[in-house]
Parts: sequence; C-alpha cells; structure tokens
Amino acid sequence: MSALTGSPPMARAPGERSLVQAIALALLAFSVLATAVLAIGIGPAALSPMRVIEILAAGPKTTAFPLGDVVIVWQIRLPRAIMAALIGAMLALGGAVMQGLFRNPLADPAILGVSNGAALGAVSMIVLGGGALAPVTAILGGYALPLAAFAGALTATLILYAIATREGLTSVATMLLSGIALAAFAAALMGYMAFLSDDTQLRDITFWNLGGLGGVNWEKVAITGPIMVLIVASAPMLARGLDALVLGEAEAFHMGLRVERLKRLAILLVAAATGLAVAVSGTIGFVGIVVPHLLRLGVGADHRFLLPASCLGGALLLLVADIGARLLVAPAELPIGIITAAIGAPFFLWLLMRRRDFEGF
Amino acid sequence: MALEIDDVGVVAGGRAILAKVSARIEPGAMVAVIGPNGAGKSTLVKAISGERRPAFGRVRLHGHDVSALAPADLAMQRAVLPQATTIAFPFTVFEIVGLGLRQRAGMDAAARRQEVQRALGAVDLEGFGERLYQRLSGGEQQRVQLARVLCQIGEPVKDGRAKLLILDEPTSSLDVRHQIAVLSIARRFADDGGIVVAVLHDLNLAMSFADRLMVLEGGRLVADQEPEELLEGGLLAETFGTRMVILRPPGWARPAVLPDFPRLHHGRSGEAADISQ
Repeated sequence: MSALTGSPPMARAPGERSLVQAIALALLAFSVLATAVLAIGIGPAALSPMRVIEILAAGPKTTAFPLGDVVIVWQIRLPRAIMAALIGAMLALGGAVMQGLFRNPLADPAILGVSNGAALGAVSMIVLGGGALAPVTAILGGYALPLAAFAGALTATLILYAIATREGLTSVATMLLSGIALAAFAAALMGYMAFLSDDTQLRDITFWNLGGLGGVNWEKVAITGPIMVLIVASAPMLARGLDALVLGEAEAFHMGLRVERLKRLAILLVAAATGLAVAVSGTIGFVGIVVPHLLRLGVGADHRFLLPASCLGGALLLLVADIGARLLVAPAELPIGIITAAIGAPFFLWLLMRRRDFEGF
Repeated sequence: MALEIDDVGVVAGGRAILAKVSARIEPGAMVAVIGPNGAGKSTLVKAISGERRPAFGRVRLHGHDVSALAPADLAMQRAVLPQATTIAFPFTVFEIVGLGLRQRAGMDAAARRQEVQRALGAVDLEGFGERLYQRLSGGEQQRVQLARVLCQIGEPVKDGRAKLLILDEPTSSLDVRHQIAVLSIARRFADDGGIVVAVLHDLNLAMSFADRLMVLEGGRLVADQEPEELLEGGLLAETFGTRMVILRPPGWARPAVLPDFPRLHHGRSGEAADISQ
C-alpha cells in the first residue's frame, strides 16, 4: 500500500509519473496475489502461505497432500478468493468510471443508488422468481439474478444521469440529492418485496443486503466470473475518452471524441459492474469511492492508469476486508459490507471536509 | 476554401437566439465577434465549432458542413479554446496539454513530449508540466488550455487547407500582458494562413488584433466591418448602449475606444447613463 500513500505527484521530472504508475501497478498486482494466498490460508483450518502455494501448484486432483487441505484450498477458499478479487475490481472500476462519467470524485454507484437499483432487481428476482417471473428463471437459470441486477443498475444509472446532467453539465447537488432519492425509492420497493417474501427468501435478502461472500462456489464463479473478467479487460477502451471528458463534454467533443457513444459505454459498464457485484454479494459500499480516490491522490488521475489500478486496488481491498470479516468474529463471519462501510464511511466524510482544497466539485 | 456561415439560425426553447447570420471568413483572416451580453456570441461559436447544429442554414469549412463531419475529422481541422475550464481530478499540466494530441497519429512518446513542451513554451509556461492543473491560477489554467488547443490544431495550414481556431472569450481571466500574448498567438496563426474566430469583450483587443469585427445584437449580425469603418458608423455606442470616445494616439495604426465612464470627466454626473437611452 506504500505506493498509494506516497507524496503527491508534484515537482517531478516529465515521464517520471508514468514510471511511478508502472511501479504502482506492478506492486498492486503483486499485493493482490500475495493477499489472495494469505486469504486462502486463513480460516478454521489454517494453512501456511507456502502450503497454499504448493497445493495450488499441485493442481486440484493432487494426492500429495491430505484430501481435506486440497478440498479446502481448491473447492472452498480459492473460488471465494477469486470472487472477492473480482467483485472488488467491479466495485472500484464501477466507481472510477462513474466518477469519470459525472466528472466528480463523489460519484459512486453505492452512494448514488445504483447499487440499490441493482439490489432491487435482484431482490425482485429472488422473491418473484418462483412466481410471476418463473418463466424468466426457467429460461435464464443462474443468469436470471445477475441479469435482473444489471437491469436494475442500468435503470438507476440512466435515471440519475438524465436528472443530474443538463446540456453536458453535472450539478453536484442535484447528483447527490437525486442519488439519495433513487436509493430511498429502491429501498422502499425492496421493502415491499420483503413484505411479499416468505421466511427463507427474507433471510436470503437480509444477509445478501449486508454483503457477503459466504455462498460462493465454483458454480457462481463460472456464471459471473467470465463476464467480470471481460469487463476488466474492456475497461481500458474507455480510458482515453474519460481523460478527454475530464475537461467537459463540449471540450471532449472539440477534441474529436464521440461523446454520446462514450457516455453510453460508460453507463453500460457501470451498470454491468455494479449489477454483477450486487448479484453475487449484495451491496458492498464505499470500495468504489475509496480506491479510485486514493490512487488519484497518490499516483495519478490519468484513466489509462486509474482504471486498471482501480481493478487491482479494489481486488486488494476486498480480499483484505474478507480476511477481516472471517477473522474478527471467528469462527463466525461478519458480512463484508460492514467492514467496507466501517472503513469507507469515515473516509467519505473526510473527503467531503477537504473538498474545499480543490475547486471543481 | 473558407469558413462560410450561411444564413444560420439557432432556436432554443421556442425562441430564436440567432437569426440569419451570414459571413465568409477567408484563410489568413482573424475575425472578432463582439456584442453585448446575451447577443448570441457563444451560440454562434457553438454553431461554427460544429457543437450545435443550427435549425436553419449551414456552417461550412472548406465546403464541408461542420455539423455533419465526424468529430475526429473535425478535430483535426478546428480547435476551440473555451472560456474557463475547471476539472475535478488531479491531472498534471502535462497530461492536460497532452490530451490535445489524441487525434495526432504516428507520434511516439518522445515526439509527444516534445510537442507538449513546445506548446507550453509558446504560452509562457515552461517548467509547469508536472504541476497539478487544479492548483494553478485562472490565468495559468487558461494558458494551459491554449497550449492544449495548439497541440490539437498543429500547423495553421495543412495540405493547402487552412485550419480553424476558435477562441471563446479567451482573455477574461488573463492579465493584460497575457491577454496580448494569447491574442498574438492567435494573430500569428491567422498570419500564417489559418482562420481565427475570437469572441472578445474588450473592444480594443478586438480592434487591434482582428481584421474584421462581427457585431451581434439580439441574435442578429448588425455589422461585419473593419475597425475603422465600424467606428465611423457610430454603431458601437448604439449596440452597447454607452457613448464611446474614440482615441487616435499619434503613431498608432488603429484607433482605440474608451467607454464614456460617468466619473471619468467633468461633465454632469449621470450624463453617460442618459445617453444610453
């Protein structure tokens, strides 16, 4: 994490910043892998990092190690670590892209009601999947829930953008207030869904809303993982456009950007990333605001750096939070959303307090 | 081969904010657009830059309708310096100026760096490359934007075609020295064969740098003349609603004007206010 908290990027020689960014990316990637190994080793049956690496290297069908250890590593903890990393990437990337789209560092899917929109979509599917929406579940199977969450996130993002941005200018106050209203409205509808649900559904909904990786297995990874990887891989396409958009929509157009197309892609990406993350693990807040902001502050705001770095930073943060969730009240497990909110909410307040230092938001 | 503004009208909210504006600007010319607040200057700039498709008429650059060109193609032929640009993220000056090079293909990192440094030198900001844009003064930010625009537009003429440089009130946050410096850069762009359209509030800057002044009032083009002609007609006082004193200092090639500020002379107080009616 030292690369994130280094001195502000000032008074450096030209070109040095890109070197710093390359080093930060490498450092982040290494930290993600190291933390993943650590996360796989931690639990009721503790395994040393060396042991974890040996078992991973030996493959899922190895007989060189006790069967219990192999099952724990390959069947239980590895899918969970992969999912934690991917969801962290989705949350941070969704935040970074949304901030670029709204040209505002306070924009975040969880704060502005996009996550709630996704949650409403998912909850509706949980509750109505056996009844009114049964034909949809029959056709889509395991994809029904992520798709419903995506549809909810997309609807929320589109409404938010339509309200908060007029003629290419985004009003911060309108954006934040309409986000609050959207979140409340989605919460109200979710409450109604909870009212309609039976006991099992209600318990699912409650736990899932707090954010959790408890139920993750290879089946879930297989359904949403590839799409998440695709989203991470396609994010760099938006980078140069988002850089130009930093100056404003008119200025981006003057520089040759197809602004409407970029905005549509960005909205789709935010909705897909948020919808997928929410579908798997419920609403996990503040990753999308903390990670991109620290990266901008410490290393640089250039989206060609920021987008991949946010993916890695988000993965790292969620892996760490998941370790915390499993250690703090062991042998029980805290919902991971509690950890990220406990870190993120004070950070958000700090961000609001120091915003007078910078003009523009 | 020119910038042709052909009977352009723009409607917003059921009201005509620009009507029947026509002009032709040849390569090598710098034209200032002047007029009181709300006259439609910014709207005209939006129509010329291709940002806003006019409801009536057309703007053509070298025969091509600017609102029909692909943004990327247009960006290689015209650049726009906005009034003021604030950003919400900690970008460096170097990164902001480098954005201007996004349409310029075939440049390696070293060439880009050199181009950015050259543009920063041209706007008197050598050594500012690694500073954070947000921490600069308004005037410095404006010059960073000009450097970005210069990177985008490149040479004033390419393949025999003049490029178009549009400045939308470029001097509002600049001190006098940098007002002159920025407009001198624009003037040189025109002298080297480019086309410059600048919205200006300062009439003296407009008269000393531009070949022609387009005067807008209430969405209509009420004059399109050389500075001397315009002063002789007495239209300026009428358009701006204040009496103007024309100054002709010895040795000056062009006249200057001074608005009749009420407290500037010994006449009855409030006289200037009477004249405006």
